[in-house]
Order: sequence, then C-alpha cells, then structure tokens
Amino acid sequence: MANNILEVHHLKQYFPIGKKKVVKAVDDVSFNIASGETFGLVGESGSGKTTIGRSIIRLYKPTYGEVIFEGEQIAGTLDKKRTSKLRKDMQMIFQDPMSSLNPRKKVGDIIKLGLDIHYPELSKEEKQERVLKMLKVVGLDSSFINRYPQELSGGQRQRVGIARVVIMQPRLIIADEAISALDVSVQAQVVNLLQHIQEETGSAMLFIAHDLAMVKHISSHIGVIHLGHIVESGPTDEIFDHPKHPYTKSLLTAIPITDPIAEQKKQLSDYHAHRHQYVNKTMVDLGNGHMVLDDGSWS
Amino acid sequence: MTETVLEIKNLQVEYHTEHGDVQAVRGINYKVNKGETVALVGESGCGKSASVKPIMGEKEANQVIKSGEINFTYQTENGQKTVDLLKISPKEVQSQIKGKEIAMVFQDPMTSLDPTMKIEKQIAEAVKASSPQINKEQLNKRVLELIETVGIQNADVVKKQYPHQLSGGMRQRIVIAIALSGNPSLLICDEPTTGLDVTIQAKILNLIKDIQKSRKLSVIFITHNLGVVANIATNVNVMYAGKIVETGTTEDIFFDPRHPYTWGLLESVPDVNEAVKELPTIAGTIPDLTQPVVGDAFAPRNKYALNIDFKEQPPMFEVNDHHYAATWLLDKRAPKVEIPTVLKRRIEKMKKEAEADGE
Ligand SMILES: Nc1ncnc2c1ncn2[C@@H]1O[C@H](COP(=O)(O)OP(=O)(O)O)[C@@H](O)[C@H]1O
Ligand SMILES: Nc1ncnc2c1ncn2[C@@H]1O[C@H](COP(=O)(O)OP(=O)(O)O)[C@@H](O)[C@H]1O
Ligand SMILES: [Mg+2]
Ligand SMILES: [Mg+2]
Repeated sequence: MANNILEVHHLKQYFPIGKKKVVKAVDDVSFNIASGETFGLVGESGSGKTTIGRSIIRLYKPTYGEVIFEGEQIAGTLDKKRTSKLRKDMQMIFQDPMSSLNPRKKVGDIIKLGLDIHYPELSKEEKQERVLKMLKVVGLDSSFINRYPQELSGGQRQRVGIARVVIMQPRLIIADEAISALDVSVQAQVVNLLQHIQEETGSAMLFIAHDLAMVKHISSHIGVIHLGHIVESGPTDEIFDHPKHPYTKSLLTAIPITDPIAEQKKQLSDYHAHRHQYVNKTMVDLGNGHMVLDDGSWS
Repeated sequence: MTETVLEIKNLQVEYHTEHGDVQAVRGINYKVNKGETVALVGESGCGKSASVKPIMGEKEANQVIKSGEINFTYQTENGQKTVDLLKISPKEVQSQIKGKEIAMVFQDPMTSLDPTMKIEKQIAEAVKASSPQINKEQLNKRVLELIETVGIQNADVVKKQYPHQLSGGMRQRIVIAIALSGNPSLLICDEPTTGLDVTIQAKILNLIKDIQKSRKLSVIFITHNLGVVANIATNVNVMYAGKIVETGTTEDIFFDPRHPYTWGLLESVPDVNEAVKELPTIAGTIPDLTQPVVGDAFAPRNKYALNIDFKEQPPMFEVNDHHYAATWLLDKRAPKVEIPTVLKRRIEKMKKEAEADGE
C-alpha cells in the first residue's frame, strides 16, 4: 500500500547468549503503520516491545525479515543514504527522559542537536527560531533554553524529550513507554501534545505501552504481543469490543477502571502459554483487518 | 461497632533543604478503622509518602515533624492499648510496633530485599525478629506457610532462590510475606503495584484484599492510580500539596466527587468505554512547597477557583457525615458550579450499570 510509512514483515530479532543458546526476543512479527496513524503495541514486560522498536530504528540489526520505511528496505545492510534518512526521519522517545538527556547540556542545545547534525545548511538564527517554536509547542516557556535537565520535573523532561524528537519533523515516531513514568494528569497532557503534532505533520507513530486505556485513546490500530509473537492485531475498537485471543482478554480484564462497583465484582481471566505454542503458527483474518494467531487456544 | 486503629491529628512534616523548608505535609487528619482500606491518592509530590513515614518511625536526616499526633491502638496481653507513635521512644517503636503491629510494603521490592540472601533466609530473619523464641522446626514451617499465604505454589523451589531470580510480581509477593511475618494489624502499602504489568497488578491487589479479609487487617494504600483505588479502597483521602482536600467512602469519591482537584484526577483517566477527541488535563503543576501557600494551594490550576480561593484556605465542608471536601465551592454563598460534563456522563452510566446489575 502506498500510504504505509512503515511495513514490518516477519521480523525476527534473536540474541545469542553463551555458546549455544539464543533468546528469541522477537519472533516473526508483522504490522504496518499508515501516514498519520498510531499503532499501539501492548504486552507484558519482557514480551519484546522495546526490542521491536530498537530493531526498526536499527539500534539492532534484524536477524530476519523486512522493515520497509517509506518504501526503502532498511532491515539489511545500510548504505549512507539510508542511514542518513533513518537518523533524520525516524525518531524515538524513551521511557526515562533523564537517562536519554545529556546532563551537561542545556535544554536549548539538547533540542537543537538533531538540527546541528542533519540540517547543517540552516543558519544559527533559523535553528534558534525553531528551538523556540518547539519549546512553545511542548508547553515550556523560552527561559527553559538555559536550564539543565536535572533542574526539571519528570513531566518537563519528557517534554524536552519530545521537543528534541519533533523538531526533526520525523515521518515515524517510536514512543517506548514514553508516558509510563508520569502522573495521569501529565500523561494526558503529553498524549494530547503528541496527537496535535501528528495531526499537523501527518507522521506515523509506534506507541509502546502497557497502559491499555491510554493505548486505546491514542491508537487507531493495536498489536498485542506475547512471548515475542503478535497474538492479535487490528483496529482498536475491534480488539477492545471483540477480543478473541485469551491473552488479549486477560490484559483487557486487568485494566483498573474508575468504577468501584465494577472493579470489586471483576473476575480476572487467567492465561498461561508456552513459547512453543506460538511457533510456526499463522494469523487468521477475522474480517475488518482483525487478525488472531491460530495457536489452538481459542476457537 | 467501628474500632479506630489509627488516628492522625494535625500532622505537619517539613524537610530542610538548601532551597528552603519543604512543607511536605501541611496538617492532615484522618482515621483508619479496623478492617478498612484507606487510600491516599494524588499526584507525585503531594506528600503521600511523607505522611506515612512517621507512622513507621521512619526518620530522614532532614525531616522535621512540626506538630501532630499519631494515635495507634492495638491489643496487648493486658488488653487494648493506645500510644502516640510520635511520643513513644524509637526503641519502643522498634521493639513493640515495627513489623509486629505495623508493617510496610514499598513500590520497589528490591529496596526491601537483600540481593545476597536466599528468600527463605530473608523471611526467616523477619519471623525471628518478631518471635525470637521460635524453634527451628516451627520456623521452617512458618516460612513455608508465609510463602504459600502470598499465593506462591512452588514454595519449595522459590525459597531456595535469590531475589534477582524472581520476577517483579514474585518479589513483591515475597515482600508482602515478610510484612506479614509478624502478624501486623496495620499494613501500609506505598505504591506496591506501580510499575508492575496490569495482569500482575490485578493479582497482587486480589492477594492484598484476600489477606486483609482473612486477617481483618487495616490497610493504608498509597497510589496515584484511581482505578487501583476503585479496586481496593473502602475509604479515600485525596491529597494535594500536603493537605487532604477531599475525604469520603469510595462511593462518595467516585459517584459524588466535590473537589475540582478530584474531578481533574478522575477526568484525566481515559475511559475505555467512551472515546473523546482530547483528554481533559489538569493545567500546570503542583506548587513549590518551600514557599508559603496562601489560600487554596490548588487555586492557580483550578478553572473553577473563586476570588476567595486565592486568599483564604477553605475549611473542610461537610457533604455528609463521612464525606468532606476543602473547596469554597461548597460554601453556601458560592455560585452553583456543575461537575464537568464528561465526568457527569461517566458517573450516570456507572450508576445505571450498577442498578441494572443489582436487579
Ligand atoms: N540485548 C539483549 N540480549 C539478550 N536478551 C535480550 C536483549 N534485549 C532484550 N532481551 C530479552 O528479550 C526479551 C524481550 O525484551 P524487551 O524487548 O525489552 O521486552 P519489553 O520491552 O516488552 O519489556 C526479554 O526476555 C529480554 O530479556
Ligand atoms: N528527603 C527529602 N528531602 C527533601 N524533600 C523531600 C524529601 N522527601 C520528600 N520531599 C519533598 O516533599 C514533598 C512530598 O514528597 P512525597 O511525600 O515523597 O510525595 P508523594 O509520595 O506524594 O509523591 C515533595 O515536594 C518532595 O520533593
Ligand atoms: Mg520495554
Ligand atoms: Mg511517594
């Protein structure tokens, strides 16, 4: 499809550990993200979410599969042109803003860094102007330019993390648990901000999180990942209204909601699976783009 | 009859820092009755942790308790006894209260576990601390019992492991087992499920509820997640900038919230059942608590603030005999302000569902 910003086909990311063992962190994962859309990736910790993000942005070299970014194959060996496109047009927001912001650099310089590297043709004034505009977009006043990351609150740091990414006008934003460490009130602010930016720029987003309520709000499509495999994927409402895979159901029933009566009556649905149960299984199309892994655990 | 286990009166806690004195807890009052779970909820930095540390006699070098009483009632061999935890000696807290009557579970289980010690040894140490006379055989039995109490099935395997060999959820279960080792009557949980996966969180909440019921424990439960509050609490204290701004039963707070801060917190949790284009937010951030607070600390972020909110601290207005809120909106002279529409709809829907289910 022409308007897919990202296509991931049969992605595998294996890590050799020791002599003979490998960790199959991501095992045959496929999904697409269209322009202006957000794909929410949910699943328990250790299921492979971060690894998928890092493989796509090429912090790792994929073991197998295709990653097609705006029509360019980026899973294999990268030439100079592709590397440069990747570094410019794909950006990642991390969970812990502190560890990803250089404590010796001022906020203004942190935000400007990407421009310095990838847009050398811009004048000093133009760069400064863009930094100021970016600060405004993320809701920080211009005095922040001269502050250091450690002088900021968690929410403010996350805004700097976003400003640094958005100033590059990326085509794809990978947000890896970008709001998980923030208070709900601040989470809502950051999510609104990301959505505004997306509306303006038409960029696509891979939104990785374990808070399903927030994922539901922000994503048009969802992939549910378990033990390195996507077990169910499709349009957000489809997944929430008609979950098919027992793992998806167990996640959905576990979301705490602000209704004490419903919460107190809630029955958890327990689910256990073994990795081998998912190997060499295919996704079945239930219609409307709703796909579920045919592993015998549902029918 | 309701038995009060803990009563906190006008507790004020400050921290000395190089930027000034942080007024972390600015005079709070509440009770915990036997068998109740009282939630403390609010954004980070609101003073939730600072307000419970003095209960355990936890003293940081720069912490100053400016005023207050923490009256704790418990059973002794000679009958019921009430002590002010702020008045008795640290030695007494250590020998009579900590671990035996009051125990605590923190967010990060690794801070309470020793990474170099096997699980069984850690639990055994805790058991010995509260029952020094216990013999070897009883001790082993008790350790196994505790591991099973917290829902771990393969206790024989787990007890031989080190903390790093366990998942986050399992570690938190072990911390709960250790907390239960002295048979406490009050359990304080400070964000015990924050950072855990939702499915694990749900199980830990069930575990705490089960234990609480079977042992008639009283619980103080700190969280910033209102969904978790709805799941576990019988009573709720909403905290803002070192004060309790609204207090009530769980039903009071979720079905009839009165403080605009409570509205803001409830609204910013996305509703999985109803889509909105833009999430409501609470503008701004919590105030700098080294500066004196004039009026209602929430006023600068409150779109419903009245002039008087910027000048005078509102008292606790009574909504009913178990529901109070500190907002001038409840004053007789205040203009009528409606609860935000999104929230109103959500509450009406919840009520309807509850009625439909009740039939
Ligand atoms: N560099 C690595 N080397 C070996 N194993 C790894 C590496 N990165 C991740 N893993 C393993 O891969 C699995 C998936 O990890 P991750 O992608 O971080 O999960 P998630 O982000 O969903 O919590 C885990 O079992 C993790 O231990
Ligand atoms: N040891 C300390 N020294 C200085 N300030 C502290 C200390 N502990 C907490 N504070 C401050 O006290 C206030 C309340 O903190 P805390 O009780 O930890 O909040 P919460 O638990 O609600 O997130 C915050 O402003 C925090 O920065
Ligand atoms: Mg991760
Ligand atoms: Mg705290």
